[in-house]
Amino acid sequence: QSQAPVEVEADRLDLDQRAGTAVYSGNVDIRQGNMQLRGNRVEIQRNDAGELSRAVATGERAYIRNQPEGQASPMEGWAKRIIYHVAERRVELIDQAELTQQTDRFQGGRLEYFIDQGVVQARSDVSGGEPQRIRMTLQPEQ
Amino acid sequence: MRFWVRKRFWITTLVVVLGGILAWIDPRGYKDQSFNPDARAQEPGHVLENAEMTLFGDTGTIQQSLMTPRLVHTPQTAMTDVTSPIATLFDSEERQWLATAETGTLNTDTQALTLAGSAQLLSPDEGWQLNTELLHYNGVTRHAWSDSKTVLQQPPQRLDASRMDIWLDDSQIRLTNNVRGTHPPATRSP
Repeated sequence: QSQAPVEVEADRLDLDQRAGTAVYSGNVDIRQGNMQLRGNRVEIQRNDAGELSRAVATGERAYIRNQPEGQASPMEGWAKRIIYHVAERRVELIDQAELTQQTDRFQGGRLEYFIDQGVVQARSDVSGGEPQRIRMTLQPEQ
Repeated sequence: MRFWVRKRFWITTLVVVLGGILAWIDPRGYKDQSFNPDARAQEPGHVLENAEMTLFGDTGTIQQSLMTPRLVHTPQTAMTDVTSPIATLFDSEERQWLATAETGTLNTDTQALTLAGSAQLLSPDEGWQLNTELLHYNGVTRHAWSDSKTVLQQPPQRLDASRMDIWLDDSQIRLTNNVRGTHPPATRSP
């Protein structure tokens, strides 16, 4: 999964070679293996080898979805800002963050999701904003 | 005897009438042949083999140069048609962008260059290459664009779109309409 190329579709791409920035905008849809990231605007960063190292998606609420192998329902997440750290396979959901994983549900200022482990970490602080309390709804084992 | 006189009279009349018709047609024919200035303007003024052409701006700075195996220049229209051109485009810092194609036309008055047929543009430093069918370039604003399918390759990434704009001085590229990007993922954390 982690070696799969990152495929992007969008209405527009602006590359500033001097500043080294690349911004996709308009219906941005990013896919890598079973993971999908959507936003109105996604800024991507590349390392010295030209590989995609980070994608920052923003929008009314950016959206991320991941369908782990062997799991019936996908993980879905929403937030004002979603940062995908490609090499670490780690996702940060920031500001009005919400994440559902099977029957469990997490809300707060900042959620962190480790794709390959399926682990969720939650924090209330939001840089530059009011703290947002953490709420978790965990379904008991049947 | 009277029969011969009448016959001679009708033959003479016939010849006079035919002569009149011919006289009437002929002058009309002469006017059509008058001199046509438009045709003269389409005639190429210079045809050169293995030529190199360089354009300078108002302040004397080099703007673009064209190398070509065959150049046809028509002074009245300021149009230059070139075959298999190799164009060097100079930006405001005199960095050199290389453009090639099957054919090209350059308006030496407006510095508008059009490259057609497997057009390709190479950036000087950033190591990317752009391919399209029809590439336009405004030598005054140093803006290149294409409205046909465009592929931008900066290995290891590849980008496709239906329209492309490049501003040479700022090294800014904009792709619009059906933008597709393929980026290899980083596998090691910084």
